[in-house]
Amino acid sequence: MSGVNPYDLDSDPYDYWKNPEDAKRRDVLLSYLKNLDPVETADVGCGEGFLTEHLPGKHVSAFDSSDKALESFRTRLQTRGFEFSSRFDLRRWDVLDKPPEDSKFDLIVVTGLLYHHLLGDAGHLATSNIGTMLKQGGTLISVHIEDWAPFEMPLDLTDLWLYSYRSKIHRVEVFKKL
Amino acid sequence: MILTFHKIAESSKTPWYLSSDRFRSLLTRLSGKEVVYLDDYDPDNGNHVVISFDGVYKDIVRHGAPYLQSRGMPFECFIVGDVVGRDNSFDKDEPLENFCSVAELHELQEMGGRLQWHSRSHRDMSRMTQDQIQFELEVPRELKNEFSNPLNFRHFAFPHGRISSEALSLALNKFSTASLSDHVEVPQGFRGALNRINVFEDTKLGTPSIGVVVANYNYTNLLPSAVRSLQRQSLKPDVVHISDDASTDGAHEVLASFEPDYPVFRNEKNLGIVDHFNLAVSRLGTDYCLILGADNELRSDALERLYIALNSSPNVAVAYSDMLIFGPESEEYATRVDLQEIGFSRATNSKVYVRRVPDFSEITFSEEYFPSIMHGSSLFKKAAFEDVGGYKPTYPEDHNLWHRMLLRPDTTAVRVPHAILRYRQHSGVQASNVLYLYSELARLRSANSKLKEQMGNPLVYLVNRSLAVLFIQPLREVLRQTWLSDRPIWIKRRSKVARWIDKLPARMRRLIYRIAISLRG
Repeated sequence: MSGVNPYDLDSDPYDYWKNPEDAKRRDVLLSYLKNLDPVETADVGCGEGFLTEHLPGKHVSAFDSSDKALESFRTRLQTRGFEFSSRFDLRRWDVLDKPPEDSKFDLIVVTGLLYHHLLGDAGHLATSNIGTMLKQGGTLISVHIEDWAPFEMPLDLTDLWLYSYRSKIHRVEVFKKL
Repeated sequence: MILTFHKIAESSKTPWYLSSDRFRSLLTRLSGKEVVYLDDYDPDNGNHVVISFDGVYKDIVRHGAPYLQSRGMPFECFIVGDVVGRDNSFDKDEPLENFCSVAELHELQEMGGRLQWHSRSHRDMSRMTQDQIQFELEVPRELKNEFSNPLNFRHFAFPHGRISSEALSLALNKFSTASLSDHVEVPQGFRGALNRINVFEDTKLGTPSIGVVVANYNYTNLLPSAVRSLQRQSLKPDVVHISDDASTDGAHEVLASFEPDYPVFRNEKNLGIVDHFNLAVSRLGTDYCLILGADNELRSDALERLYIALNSSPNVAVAYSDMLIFGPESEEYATRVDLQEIGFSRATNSKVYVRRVPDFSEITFSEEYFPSIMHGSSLFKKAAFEDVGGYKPTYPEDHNLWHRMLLRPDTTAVRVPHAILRYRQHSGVQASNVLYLYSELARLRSANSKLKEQMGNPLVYLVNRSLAVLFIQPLREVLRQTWLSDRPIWIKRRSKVARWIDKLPARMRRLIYRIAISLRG
C-alpha cells in the first residue's frame, strides 16, 4: 500500500458499521456468492472484517496491511466464540509484497482497494499479485467505486453490474481464472 | 545497452525514482531484446540488454526483482559496501529510503540477480589518490565470504559515473568491466569500459510503438466502455485515436467528452469498414497497430501480452488471441461455433463463453480453418499492413487482410492463449441500456463533484461570481477595448473609462496594462 493505511489512524474510518448504504453493499456482494461453495476463501484488504465474517468458505483468510485493523477484527471474532471464529485466519500482508507462499484460493473478494490513492502507480503489481493467488477455475469478485478505480484484474470477466452507493456508483465485477 | 535503475516505488517522488507500473511497462517494451548478464554482454550486439540496479535499494526486492524473475530476466545489483543494511540519510536531497540488508541481497540472488561492486563509499573517484581508489575498489572479505558465488563481484560501476584515467585503469585491472554514466565519454584504449543509461520516468528506449484506434459506427453508448478498457491496460499504448465513421446515433457529445485527452476523428460521410480502417491506420504513425471496435473491450493485460507475442520474432506480423464472448446473442452464436460456457452475465442477461482458437500453423492456415481463427482486434505490424496495401473490399475484411499478410514469405502469426478480447455478440439495439445509463450517471456525478470542487464554498463562489459579473468583466471589456482588441484602433469606439485611463500617468497605465494581460488569460 502506498502511504498510510486509513485503519492505522482510526477505527472504522469509513463508517461501514453505521451507514445503511454499506449494509446494502454487503447484500449485493453476498447475492453474487450464494451459489458458490468454496473451500479456501480470501478477503484481500479486509480492514476490520465488515464483509469477511459473512463470506462462504471452509477456511477464510483475511489479509490486510494494518495490524490495528486485524487486531480490532480479532477482538470482535473472539466475542463470537471459537466455533464461529475458528474458520478465520487473520494475516498481515500488503498487496504490493510477494504473495504469501502456498496461498491459493477458490474465491477471492477484493473491495475498495484498487484505488490510486491507496496504491499509487503500483496498481498493476497489486492486481498481478492478487491474480496469482487465485486457483485455476477460481472466482474473484471485485467491488469498487466506478470512477476511482484505474486498475482492473487481468482475469476473465464473467459478470458486471453497477449500482448506486453513497453518492457514487459501485462497480461489481466477477472474474474467473481459466 | 546497459540500463541502470535506482529506486522503484509506488510513485515517482524525485527523478531517481521510477514508478512500479512504469518499470513493468519498460520491461515489457524490452520483450524483443535478449536480456543478459554482464558476463554474456556483447556491446556490439544491438539486441543485448543488461538490467542493473545501483545501491541497492530495498524496494527493488518488492517492485523490481519479482517481475524480472517472472519473466526469466537476469539482472545485476551494483552494491555500495558501506550502506548494506543502512539508509540513505546522508543524501539530504532525497527522501529517506533503506538499502538492502544482507538477507535481502540473498533474496535478490535467489530471484536471478548477481551482485557486483559500486565502490565502498559511493564517493566521486575522479579526484582520488591511487591509495584511495584502491580502497574503494576493494570488496571487503566478509562480503566476499557472504556472497561466495564466483560470478559475483566481477564487474564495477563508477559512482556518479565520473572517472579519471587512473581510476579506470585500476578498476579494469580488478574487474572484467567498468561502467560509466551515459553522459561520460568512454576513453579510447580501455577495453571493458562501458556506458550505462540511467532510466528515468520519461526515458524512451527506442522500442516499437503501439497505436490503437477505437473505431465507432453507431455504438456510441458502448464507446466509453471500450475506452475505459484501454485506460486500464498494464501496457499503455503510445497513441489512442477515436475514429467515428459518421455515426447517426447522436455521437457528437460523447465524442467531444473524450477530447482533448484523445484525438477524435470524425468522418464527414460514412466510408464503410475498408476505407475507414485504412484511413484510421494511416493516421496512427506507430510501429504496431490494433483496431478495437467501440462495442468490444480489452482485458487489462491484453496489450502487454499481444506486444510480447508480436515481439517474439522478427517474422511475426500478427499477434491474435482467444476471445471471451458475451452479449445478448452469445447463446445463439454458441450453437454455431464450439464455445466453452464460463458464466452468466446479469448485465447483459446472457451466457458468457470462451472461444479457444488454434495456434498458427500450416494446417490452421489452410482454407478450412483460417477464416475463423484470427479476430479483427489482433495486433499487427504496420509495415506488414502497408506491404499488402491494407484492407481490401473482400468480406470478411479482417481475415482477408491477415491472409494476405501471412502469404508473404517468412511471415507468421502468434497466438496468445488467453481470452483477452471481450467480444460483444449483439445487434446494436440490444446493447445493455441499464449499464449505459449507470455509466452515464457515474460520468455526470463525477463531473458534478469536479464542479463542486472548483466552486468550493457556495457563498464564496456566489460572491466571486457576483464580483466577476459586476466588476471584473466590465473592467476586462474596457481594458480590451483600450489596448487588447484585435480590431484596428481607428474603428474602435472607445468607452469613457478607456478615455479616462488614457489620461492617467504612464506608470499607472502600465500597471493597468499588466492587470489587463493577466485578466485576458
